[in-house]
Amino acid sequence: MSILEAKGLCKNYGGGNILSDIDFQINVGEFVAVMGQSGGGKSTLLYCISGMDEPSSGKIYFDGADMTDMSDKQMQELRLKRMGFVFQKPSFLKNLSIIDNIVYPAFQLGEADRSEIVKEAMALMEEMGISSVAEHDIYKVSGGQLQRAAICRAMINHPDILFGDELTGALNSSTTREVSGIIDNINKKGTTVLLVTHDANVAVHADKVIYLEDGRIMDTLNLGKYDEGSAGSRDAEMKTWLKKMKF
Amino acid sequence: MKIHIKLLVNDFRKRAWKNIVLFVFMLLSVTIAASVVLMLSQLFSSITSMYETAKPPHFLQMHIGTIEQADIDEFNENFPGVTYWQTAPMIDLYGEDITVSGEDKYDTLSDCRLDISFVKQNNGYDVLLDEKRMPLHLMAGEIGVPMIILDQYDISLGDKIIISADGTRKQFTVAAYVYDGMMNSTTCSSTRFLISDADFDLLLGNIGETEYLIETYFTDSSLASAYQTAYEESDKNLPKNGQAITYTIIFLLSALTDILTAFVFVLTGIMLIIVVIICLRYVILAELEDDVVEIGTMKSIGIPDKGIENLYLAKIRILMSMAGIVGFILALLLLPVFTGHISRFFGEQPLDVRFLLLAAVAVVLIYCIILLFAKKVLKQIKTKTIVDLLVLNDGFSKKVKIKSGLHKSGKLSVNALIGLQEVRRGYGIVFTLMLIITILVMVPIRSLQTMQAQDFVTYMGSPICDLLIEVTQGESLEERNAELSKLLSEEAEMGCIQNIDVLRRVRLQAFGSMGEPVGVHIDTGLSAGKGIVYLSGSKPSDEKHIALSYLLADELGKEIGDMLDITAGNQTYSFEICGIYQDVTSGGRTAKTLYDFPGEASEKYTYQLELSADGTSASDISADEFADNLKSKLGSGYSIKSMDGFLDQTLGGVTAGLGQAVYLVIVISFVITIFIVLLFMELRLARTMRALAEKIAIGIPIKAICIQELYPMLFTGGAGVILGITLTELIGEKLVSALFSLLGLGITSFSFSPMTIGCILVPVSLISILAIINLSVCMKIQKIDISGYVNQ
Repeated sequence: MSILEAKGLCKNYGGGNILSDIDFQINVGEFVAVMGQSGGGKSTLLYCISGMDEPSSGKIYFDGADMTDMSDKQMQELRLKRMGFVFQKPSFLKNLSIIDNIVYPAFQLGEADRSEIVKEAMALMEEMGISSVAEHDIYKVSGGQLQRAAICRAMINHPDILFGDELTGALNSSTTREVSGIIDNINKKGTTVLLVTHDANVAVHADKVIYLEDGRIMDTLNLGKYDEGSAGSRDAEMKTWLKKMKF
Repeated sequence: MKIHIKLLVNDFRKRAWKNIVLFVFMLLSVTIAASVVLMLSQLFSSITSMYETAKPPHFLQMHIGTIEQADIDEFNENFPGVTYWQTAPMIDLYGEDITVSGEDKYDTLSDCRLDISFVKQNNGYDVLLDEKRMPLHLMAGEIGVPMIILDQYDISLGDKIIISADGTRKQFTVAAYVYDGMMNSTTCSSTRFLISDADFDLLLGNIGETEYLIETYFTDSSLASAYQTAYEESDKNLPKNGQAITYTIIFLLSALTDILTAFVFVLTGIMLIIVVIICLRYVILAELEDDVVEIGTMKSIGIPDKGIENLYLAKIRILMSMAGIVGFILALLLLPVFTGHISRFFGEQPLDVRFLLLAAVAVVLIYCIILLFAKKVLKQIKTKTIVDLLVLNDGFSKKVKIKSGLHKSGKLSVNALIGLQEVRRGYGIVFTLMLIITILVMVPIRSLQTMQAQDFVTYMGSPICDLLIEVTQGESLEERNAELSKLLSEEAEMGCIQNIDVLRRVRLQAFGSMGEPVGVHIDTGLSAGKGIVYLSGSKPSDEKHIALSYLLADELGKEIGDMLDITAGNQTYSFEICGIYQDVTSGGRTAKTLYDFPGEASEKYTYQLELSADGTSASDISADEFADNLKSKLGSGYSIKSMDGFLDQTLGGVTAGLGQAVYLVIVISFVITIFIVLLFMELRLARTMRALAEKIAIGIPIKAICIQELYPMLFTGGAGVILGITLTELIGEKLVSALFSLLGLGITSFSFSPMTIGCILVPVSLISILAIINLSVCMKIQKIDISGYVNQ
């Protein structure tokens, strides 16, 4: 069952086509990675399908509802309740501690008891290994810890889908591995994931990898669900495919 | 050098609007400083220049009755320091006897509270002037109308003025307006119409009553006080049946409105310059914050800190120079607006080159202050290392320690919690701005409101009542008083009057602590001292007690509990001083006692009436209606005023002038508030746009974001306003009291009257402005390019 579907999606900027006639579908519980060269339209695709940017034409369906017809308020509610976002350089409220930044979207939603939300946040932070910095100032933690905090914030309202835009782009290799593992776990618990990445080591965890070039989907690699046992063969398959894509 | 110019050109091109804002702030401070300097110079030079030609007396004794000029001459010849003296007769007429007739108008001056006199031009001293401040000379049949009554009466050049009394009738044509150096304010109790010598000689003795102005000039005007004492002490029984007044009081009464206006503008100017400098600091810091990477890069390629500072200073120098020139021109253009009242009452005053130079000095001073201030702010460049700027992203904004607390909050509003966290991030400027603006607006408003309130009459030595009737000085005073007394008894019997308090004023000599004699106006009668506010002590309770006005007590060197000797006829009476009150009338030197000094001639009678207009009786009548009714029954020789009318005529001119200044201050304050808050919000939004974009990206509603932005603005702005109001109430009275005390008008303790809703309206409007600007700027968030910002 599809949770997100794009049909004939186009995005033009200043006369040039950033995205041209994109069609794809993401099913519930699926982990999809979007790869491609810089400037190929990966981030634009993510912003369009997550409602942060308007497509020039085409349709986007979220859980069957046409997002291009939704009002700003409906879109905002969708982003707050059913979508989670993690960016390459997450921006936090400077005046709030790590835990306050994490609970903020849930407090704003106001659907759960605040003490329950705090418990949930602490559990998430525990899972991500950052509970020790909960009360810290955002300037006093490392980039990896900040990125994990961003994932906690994205997950606090139990979204149906998690969007990530180059979320390991600014991290070192060991932290990248840890964060990839976290995303993998999130997906395994049932949350659909769509990641834009240029890192094959991250994309290899995905069920499906879409390759984008000059705003068009060039190919899709279906890898199936990730498990430690198949890691070696997936890596090899991925490398071959990327070579074919001239990545 | 070339690269510096290139960088500057690029900066002006890239940050056009920010540079415009900087320029406007500088322009504002220069314009304000130059305007205040020009206005003050113009005010004092106008008065001085007018006085140079008009030459008002250093000491004036008014007198009704016969005079022995030889005694005056002998006394003056023997008093050291007297340079000139003259006795000028005046023809006193009642307003009812004077009719103004013109196109579509025909009215008497019966409701004029000022004592009206007709005079001829003096020669060289106490000269009445035209609008060019030249001595005014009229032809037979022409009349000059005093400027100060034009606020109350519409009298145009060419109108006819007809005087008719004592069987004599004479018509004049209004040929000019008179600028009177001595009686140039409605706070004076008299005003003079000028007629030709021929007409004056024709009328003198045939119409109205003759009063004399005995005027004396000294080598130094400060001799006036000693002269007055000697004059009153003289065994020659010199004429003194009337008011005596010194040069200082003449000057103050004439310039009171403009001095108060100037005070308001000086206060406004100083505070606005402070506001402008605070804003400059904010703008410069915001610019440095924006340029963190550029400054770091410049440091990394070896440009010295001084060189980077100079780069910013060069821009400030250029902007400040431009602002200096434009601001100076603007101040010159605005000058007629600020000096309208001065020109109106003191005549046209050409702008002196010395004042232009003085204003230019003020501009240079502001230039230096701003440059020094900018240098101090730019010193921060030195405190940051390349690593701070380029690696740690540690810019110039103030570091604030985080107070973790949102997750511990119970049910408090999330928007409030998030918003109030921002209070410590640059909102100090809003707090300071609102604090200063509130004080700036509230002190003049509260002063004006107090001066307009009926209670202010207590500063004039009178209690609050419905109607104030004065049987004025002149012939047949006792007969007129008897007639009034009889009429009021009849009215009281008819139930129109609830209470009548009668005061008889006598003029006697008191003796100070060193035994020196001082002339005193004493209000006597059973209700003397009733209903007025005492600085210390209380009203006289028996005939052995006396209450003194502040200035009189000061002059006599007496305090509460001291004994005061007063001579009446050949007898000396001793009174215990029981109270000290404030009084601006009769030169501020009055007293109140229950003892009636029988046998002493009356100076005037005052009746304070409380009417039965409580809405329950058929005889209910308004004070103004009752006044009109009495006027028609009594005819001339009385001043009948409702309390509002009395205040309006005595202080109306002052409060109107102050009112205009207050409105101007309110408008300036509002414009500045709008401008600065708009700038603050624009800069804040520009600096926090990425965080806002991410808030929207994660689904925080725009409405919630706007409310979050509103909280710190309202909190800091509201705190500033509340503190401003509190300080106004705590310090404002002391500030105004100090001003009045300095002026020597007899008021040393100025208490604001209770605050009205009208007073609160201004701060409430200020807060509303903050909210409206905040929300309107926040509307921009709706159109934010989320992907563009989060991708940065």
